[in-house]
Amino acid sequence: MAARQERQRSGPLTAPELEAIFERGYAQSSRRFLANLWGGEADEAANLFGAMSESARVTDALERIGELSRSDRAIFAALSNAGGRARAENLRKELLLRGQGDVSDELRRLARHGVLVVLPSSGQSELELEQILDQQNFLQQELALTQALIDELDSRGITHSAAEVGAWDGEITNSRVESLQSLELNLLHLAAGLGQDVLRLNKSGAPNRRSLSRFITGLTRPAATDTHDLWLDIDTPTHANYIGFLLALVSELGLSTVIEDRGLVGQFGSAQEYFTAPDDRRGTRLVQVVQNLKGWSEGLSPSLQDGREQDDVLEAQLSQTRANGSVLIGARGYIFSVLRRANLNGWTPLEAVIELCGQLDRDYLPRVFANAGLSLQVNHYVRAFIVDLLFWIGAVELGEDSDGVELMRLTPDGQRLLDFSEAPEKPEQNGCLFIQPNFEAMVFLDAAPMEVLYRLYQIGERVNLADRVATFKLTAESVQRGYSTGMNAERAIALLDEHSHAPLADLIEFQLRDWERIWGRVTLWSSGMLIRHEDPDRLDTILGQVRHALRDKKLVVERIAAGAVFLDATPEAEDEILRQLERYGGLRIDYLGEIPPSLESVEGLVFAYEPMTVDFETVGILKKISEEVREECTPRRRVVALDPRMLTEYWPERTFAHIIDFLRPRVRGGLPSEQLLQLKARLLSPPRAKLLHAVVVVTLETREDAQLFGSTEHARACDALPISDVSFAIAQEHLDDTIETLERLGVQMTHL
Amino acid sequence: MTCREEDTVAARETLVVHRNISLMLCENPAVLEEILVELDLDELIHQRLGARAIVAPTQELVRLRDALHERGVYPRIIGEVFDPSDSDPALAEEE
Repeated sequence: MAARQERQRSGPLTAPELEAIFERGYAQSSRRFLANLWGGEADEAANLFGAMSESARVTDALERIGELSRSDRAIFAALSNAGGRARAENLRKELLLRGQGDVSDELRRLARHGVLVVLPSSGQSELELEQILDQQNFLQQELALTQALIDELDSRGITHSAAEVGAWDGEITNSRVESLQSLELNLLHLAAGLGQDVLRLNKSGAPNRRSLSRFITGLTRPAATDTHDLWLDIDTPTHANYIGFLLALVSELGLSTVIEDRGLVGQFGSAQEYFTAPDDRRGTRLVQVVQNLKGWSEGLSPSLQDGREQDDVLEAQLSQTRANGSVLIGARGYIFSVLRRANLNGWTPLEAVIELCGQLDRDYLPRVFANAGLSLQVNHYVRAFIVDLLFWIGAVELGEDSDGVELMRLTPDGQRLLDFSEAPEKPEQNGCLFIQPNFEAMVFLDAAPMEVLYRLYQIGERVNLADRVATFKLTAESVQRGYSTGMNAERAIALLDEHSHAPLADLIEFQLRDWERIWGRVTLWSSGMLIRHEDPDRLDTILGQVRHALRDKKLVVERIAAGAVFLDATPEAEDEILRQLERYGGLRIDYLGEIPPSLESVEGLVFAYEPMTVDFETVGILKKISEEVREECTPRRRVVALDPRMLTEYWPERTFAHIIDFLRPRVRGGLPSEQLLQLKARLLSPPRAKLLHAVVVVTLETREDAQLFGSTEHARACDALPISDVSFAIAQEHLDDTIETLERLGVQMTHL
Repeated sequence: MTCREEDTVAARETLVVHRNISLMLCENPAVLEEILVELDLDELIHQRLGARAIVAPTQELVRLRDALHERGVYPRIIGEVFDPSDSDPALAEEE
């Protein structure tokens, strides 16, 4: 019996299936509603509804709707293209993507007219059609067309038409695409630079401009095709924005780390782990990091486009200490989820995708922006997400049609990153390198696995990039630097040999081994702690104590002389070492902090110091500005005399000021005034002094009286010398004249 | 005991800790001698300690490294290298 037949899962509705659904799945009220609609009795509704599979009845139904709107035609076409049935929400999304806008109301209207059949959910037996059409969850219902209706629509040229759905069809102009490999090459180039040098940070956390300009040399613009305009320019705001994005990715992929807010340095271990991982694992990790990006915000990108607050925005985007992107993690997850669920096949109008993201959950993005305190418009944000973030990671290709409508489509990398497809199997990649006798390695990027590029950065210096060919120069420095990061001659030779187009020349092999031999001869520790003690046995005891206390920590100890030992430890371990050494007292000299005074003032220009306790900076400068007084020197006390000629040679300008700056903090107990005067006399013109013998001092009662006295004819005539605010010194020979003048002026005098 | 003799005894008992020090350590004394012949370290603040080592304040590290590179010596570098030229006061306006 027809009513007992199982419902099909796909394809247009057949007449028996339609009757069965109606009989088993619809409530009485629904039957009555449809009967009224179709002009019959409720009891006959099953027959009437079943008759929908007859072409004559279908034509009647369509006529009741009236003239089909553009949206109606698109709905029929999309549903027909989907095989005759689809979930209402999927239809809505599909048509949003095709630029039809939100068709929820049209879907309801067509269902109310009975031309779209609302299918009861699995197990549902009493579907209240009128109610469900008014409810929000109507969009979760499956809708279907009958075969008769499809045939009728087909005869009218509506079904199976991509044009009706709004799918784009035509020629693409101005297409631009960035490849995932180009992004990874930029990340690798940046990470390699950070492995060799420190990117200095300003106090704000943004990179020091001069330092950054060194690091971005060799980074390519997204989607750059013109070899003359390939590189990033720090002064172009959109480029600076991209640089901020790269820095954030490098940091959050773990390829770099901020050290003490002063600079950004590479993380060798993490870089090796990332760049030597298989393509699919790197892709998965990249998408995770992009979605959770904290150090860069696509929400700030729209401000750059219209030039508002450009400097502040770039400062924030480049900052290595601000997490301005973290408030958008949820928004990114939402958009990724929408795109994963959308039917993004082929070119799609960009505005349609933006509208889809805004419409699918209308409240979500505004709520995220409000919670984050961002005054962002949804369409601006989604656009920045697509044309910046997704474009830069090589997930979308952008273009325009002949009418200038912006279009986008997922690239193969984008389909893989969004989990639409698996990574293609790559054939064995050999022969991507040409190693020339001048130690230049040319690598064909399209054929080179990322690991090969990473190893070339490890042992070489990229000197050229053009036409998808990168050239690396292998030099003594670059190869030995590679050896410092775990590479060795045998592995380097094996790598080059395996991927080289031709067998590796003997000369290259020989030189790689020779550089390895030389490399091990000198080691440079960048920063550590030097402990000195005159008594080697005592130093041994102290060292034993330190080693024991730090037995669980990484500590490198180099004995460099009987009384000197160098310690290389982490900053935390250094603090622990200092705590251990506190019990032994002694002297602390910090070359980036306080240097204790170490000079003893002997006399005149002569100073002494103890070689054991003096800091190296003081000794180094003394060597350049003084001569040893050999007869006064002992092994534990060195005596030097400042040499005016050497002083002026070392500090040709402002010599006296320099010597004062040098001596004042270094002389124990401060620099005596006598020595300062002596130095001045020797280095500058001798100070002058006026000595008055046998003087009379006239002291007035007030400053005002003194000023009046000082301006009298008598004071000028006898050359009265002001010695305070109220006193003058006058030569003895003018005593009588002075008394006479003061009497004449009516000044009451007291003689002392 | 004179004052100077007391000072000397005190110095002999003094433990001196230098922080933020860079160290260049050679494989053997001959290598250091060879480097010192080739290298002009006059402009650098440094101190030779023992037969194989030169120590210098960390501020001198970049100049020491560059001086070695200029002579074709590429040492194994342990730790991070900061370039003091990046903290040039001329760049203060960036801060």
